[in-house]
Amino acid sequence: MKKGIIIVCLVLMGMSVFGMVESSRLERTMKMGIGIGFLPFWVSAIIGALALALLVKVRRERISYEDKPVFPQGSIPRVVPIAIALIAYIILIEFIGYVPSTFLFFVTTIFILQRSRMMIIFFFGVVFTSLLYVIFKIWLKSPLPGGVLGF
Amino acid sequence: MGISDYLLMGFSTALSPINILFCFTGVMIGTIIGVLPGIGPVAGTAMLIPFTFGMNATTAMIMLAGIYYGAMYGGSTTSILVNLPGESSSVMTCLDGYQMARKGRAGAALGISAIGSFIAGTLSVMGLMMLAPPLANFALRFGPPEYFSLMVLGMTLVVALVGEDLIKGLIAGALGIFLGTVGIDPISGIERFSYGIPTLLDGLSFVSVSVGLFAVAEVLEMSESPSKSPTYIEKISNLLPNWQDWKDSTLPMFRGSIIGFFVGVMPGAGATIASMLTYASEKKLSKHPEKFGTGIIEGVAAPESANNAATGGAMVPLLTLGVPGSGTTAVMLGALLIHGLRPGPLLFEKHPDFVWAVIASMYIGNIMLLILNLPLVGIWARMLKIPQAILAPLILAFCVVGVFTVNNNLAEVWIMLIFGIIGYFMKKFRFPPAPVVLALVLTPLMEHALQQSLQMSHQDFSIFFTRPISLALLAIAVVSLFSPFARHLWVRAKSF
Repeated sequence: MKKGIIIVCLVLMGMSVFGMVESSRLERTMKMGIGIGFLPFWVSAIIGALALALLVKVRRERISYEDKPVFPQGSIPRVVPIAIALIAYIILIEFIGYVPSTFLFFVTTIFILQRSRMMIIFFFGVVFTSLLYVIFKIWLKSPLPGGVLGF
Repeated sequence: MGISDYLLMGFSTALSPINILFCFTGVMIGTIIGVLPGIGPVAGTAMLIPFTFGMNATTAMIMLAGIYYGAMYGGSTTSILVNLPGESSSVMTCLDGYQMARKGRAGAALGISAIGSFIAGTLSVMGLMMLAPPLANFALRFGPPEYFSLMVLGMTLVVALVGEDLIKGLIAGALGIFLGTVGIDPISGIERFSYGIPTLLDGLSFVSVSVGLFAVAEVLEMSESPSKSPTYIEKISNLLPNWQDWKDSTLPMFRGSIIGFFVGVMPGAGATIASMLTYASEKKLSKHPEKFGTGIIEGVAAPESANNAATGGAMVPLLTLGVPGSGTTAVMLGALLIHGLRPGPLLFEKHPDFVWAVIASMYIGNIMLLILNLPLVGIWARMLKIPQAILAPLILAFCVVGVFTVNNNLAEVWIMLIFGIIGYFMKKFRFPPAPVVLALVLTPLMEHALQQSLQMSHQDFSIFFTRPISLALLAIAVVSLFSPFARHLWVRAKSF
């Protein structure tokens, strides 16, 4: 946890510097009042100061920031494939359309989370894809990505 | 028109078939969200915003409010039967509720929890009805400086009270403010941090950010470990409390309702703190405090009443001042803005039909919840058997399709994903996500109030300190922020 928080503080400080540099290109004062760079500049500065304060606190306090693992054992091999499946789903939905991509997403993620019989997984894939289709496309009349297949 | 006339008008709108249907949908979804551990009311309301686009603002708000208070009802079921709080606000219910269930009194615990929730929910709506109009009238005196100070106060209270670490809360709030500045500035028309990306010109989509931070992050965390179907106490009988139960729980229910309502009114405090405070005060007032935690009915009645009363209380600052006090009400504020309504004192003047319909629907929703929760408790308990492998993909696909349908824009889905990953890391490093959403929603309004105030004062910042209401609000904000430091210094000074 402690190392992780230190990394987070450094990232936040980097973001703070980036925010300040980017905001300094905008006007901080205008004739009519404050400029559009005023708020982001000072908020970025505050983020940097707070990240520094957190860093100091983490280094000084030993009890509350003891080195407990941030990610429980075995969690990463479960979370990363789900995140990758989600990314793949968002990419695919644009190209092959809602129906095939959603079905593939369900089959993949159910398989990752619980190895069951493929028939059961396919069954849930079909049911959930249809369920969301009925809710969004038929009931709410929202357009869904069609992709090259058109559905 | 008096309050009773407005209420009658509200009922006439709330009792239309479509509003009854969506009130029922809201409270039912809320109950499911409350029962299922993991997905909370913030994620639930955020996920369902796209659902509301085809509705008018009144129906949308009736449904979203139903989800909010419905989740409080549902949370108690898992606390009592599994010792697993469906919501953080039901943690205190576990202490005595589960012990009662182990003693074979699950029915009485569930019964008093539903009845207490109903009484508290109804009382808190009455409180909302009494407190909101005068507060809205008072807030009509507010000018831009008062609004700016009020929003600063709202944010600082949430930051100070949410989460375990003040610095982390402040960082989350500051990040939210920064994110709120993305897009075209409405006054100058100049773009900020959008880097030519058309989706960012209108600012970061509040739906994408809140669904990502709450729902996607929650599912990613849920996927960390394989799901185990929890073992729960299946034998539920005698849902109606006996005479002794009534005698023991009547006063705790009323005290819980009062404490819960006023804690709910305070931005940032919310249902969890309300239930904790009520439980602690009941223990202090009790003639047998040693019995708390062993399965006594007061230990269920008081916190359950408090967490429900807090939801009515939380609607007071949202509707009257336009300042949300929690993550869920921040999401509701965002939804209202999407529907073209700006919560605040003028809402009571310009849209009384909307405000009073929502208030009236809360009475109806509480009755629906009582009917849903008492006889159907067995069904809710069985929902715990839904495996995570089914729930997680369904929620994720719902989020992707839901966010896409907001503007038919896939870029917003990518924003949701990015904030889902950020939210997951925030959870891991214990940064509270609620201040980010709150600040994201409030920043454009706050910046506008700041600009107007400085135009009024010819760029003189003293305008915030020379107007009494603004000064008082800022003083409370400063006290709320620095009180933890002062307490820390005081403890250290005493130890020397």
